Amino acid sequence: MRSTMTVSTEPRQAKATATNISKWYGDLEVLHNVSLEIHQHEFLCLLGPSGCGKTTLLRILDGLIRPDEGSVRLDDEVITGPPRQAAVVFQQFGLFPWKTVSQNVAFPLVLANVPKTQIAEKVQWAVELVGLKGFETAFPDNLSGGMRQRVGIARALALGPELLLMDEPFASVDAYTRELLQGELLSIWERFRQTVVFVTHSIDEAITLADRIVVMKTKPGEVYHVFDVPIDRPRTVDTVRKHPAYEPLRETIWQDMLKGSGREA
Amino acid sequence: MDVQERHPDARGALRERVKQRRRQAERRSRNRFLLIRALSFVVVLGAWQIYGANTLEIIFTPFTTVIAHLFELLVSGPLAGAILYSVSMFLGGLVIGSVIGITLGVAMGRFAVFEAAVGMYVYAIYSTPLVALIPLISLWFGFGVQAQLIIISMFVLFPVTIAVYNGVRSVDASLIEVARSFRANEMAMWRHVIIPSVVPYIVTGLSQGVAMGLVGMFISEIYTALSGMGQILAFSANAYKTADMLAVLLTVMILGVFFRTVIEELRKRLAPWFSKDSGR
Repeated sequence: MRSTMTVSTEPRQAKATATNISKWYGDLEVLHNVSLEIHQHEFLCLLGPSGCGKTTLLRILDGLIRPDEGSVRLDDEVITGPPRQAAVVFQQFGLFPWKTVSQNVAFPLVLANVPKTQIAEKVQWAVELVGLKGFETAFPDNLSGGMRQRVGIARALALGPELLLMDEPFASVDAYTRELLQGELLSIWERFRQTVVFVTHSIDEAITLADRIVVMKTKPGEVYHVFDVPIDRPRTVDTVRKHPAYEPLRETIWQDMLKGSGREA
Repeated sequence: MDVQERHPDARGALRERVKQRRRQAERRSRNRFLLIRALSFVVVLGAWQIYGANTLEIIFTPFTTVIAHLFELLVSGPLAGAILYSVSMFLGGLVIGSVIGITLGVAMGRFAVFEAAVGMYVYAIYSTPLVALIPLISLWFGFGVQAQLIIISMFVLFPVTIAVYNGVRSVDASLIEVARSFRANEMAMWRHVIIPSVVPYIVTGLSQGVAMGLVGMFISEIYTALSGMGQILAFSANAYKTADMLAVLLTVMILGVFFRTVIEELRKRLAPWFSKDSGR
């Protein structure tokens, strides 16, 4: 028997709500009856092994693909395409190789018809925020993976999104850079507290960053269990690892993921 | 979150030294490259000179004789006018062929309906040796400027079409999705994603178009009304004036290299992100 868990029982305000989402690719059911409430100003991680449909769910949340059943509401409006309030950070960075760092960051602003003088200001702000000052005129091909994803983050933040959707943003960089970027993301997020949905397959990453972790099970992708992360902010990668709640939570989630992918421990 | 940390003076000096050493190494490898080129030039021209001086005049002539004939043809002969004629025909054909080729390539690449309707003819004509079409073109359009322009532009057309088509087809789907997620409309999609990613392919197509266009230029000048540089070439061949023939060939070679350099410059201007750094 499949059971669908209702995610939130807390009386917190919802930023976005996915209701009974199902998605098929041909005969393969990728997502089955997923319901999920994303709270205002929370950092939510979607955690699961490959093939659990977490990236598909993220793209549905951004309106990039339509679910076969169910709907997504953002600020109480059903979305039909990429919403104005949301911005995505992509796993493979998704930078335009013909645009410089500045031009890449400016892209959403140009599309939104922001006046030129404001574009320059906002770009400068975002570029400095992610520590890329001095690299404004560089092309992405000349940057390291970590720096490219900093550009991706700056671009997503440039328009001041209320909902930030991050699709395994640190999966394509080396382990060392990944930890650096996690730390940087923590300090940025703790300043601005946008609502974040962050897709990852790393338990460590999820515990480090999230307020709540949604563990997904595979075949088909379903919401399995939801865990609160009882670690205070501000956090750093280091304080999280040394927190007494870290190890037990990691173990619990690991067992849960094993069960969720049909492998009893 | 500074990416670059501040460094004390000692590290700054070290970095400066490393930079300087790299510049020296670059200069040395560049000097070596130029030296090898110069040596090769001397060897090849020397061999040309010696062989030319020791063989029949109608088989081959020394390099210096060719240069002398080149100047004579340019100054008091018909070569200057012929170059002007040939190059303007070539440029005319290049423009017509490229414009049609880019349009066809974009339409075939972006609209499946268009490709289904037209693609097979493009491939069919592309697979036909164009020289075989010349009698037909002459039959329809005569032997004048019009026929020559049509021939040259057909030589240019197909490599450009195929390159642009491939370019449009290989636009990165993930970048289309990125643009969509930032709410790009069709216009913005063309401006920010499709056109920039096709530009390098257009330049590649043009570069091949230039090479094929020069072929078309000669063929049209020899197979329709004798004219331009093709005429000088044909006349000097008939009269066994080998030095004049070689002078014309040298001119075309220089023109070819010149046009390819222009295209390469164009690539650097239009697609600076498309750097072709070799791994050596």
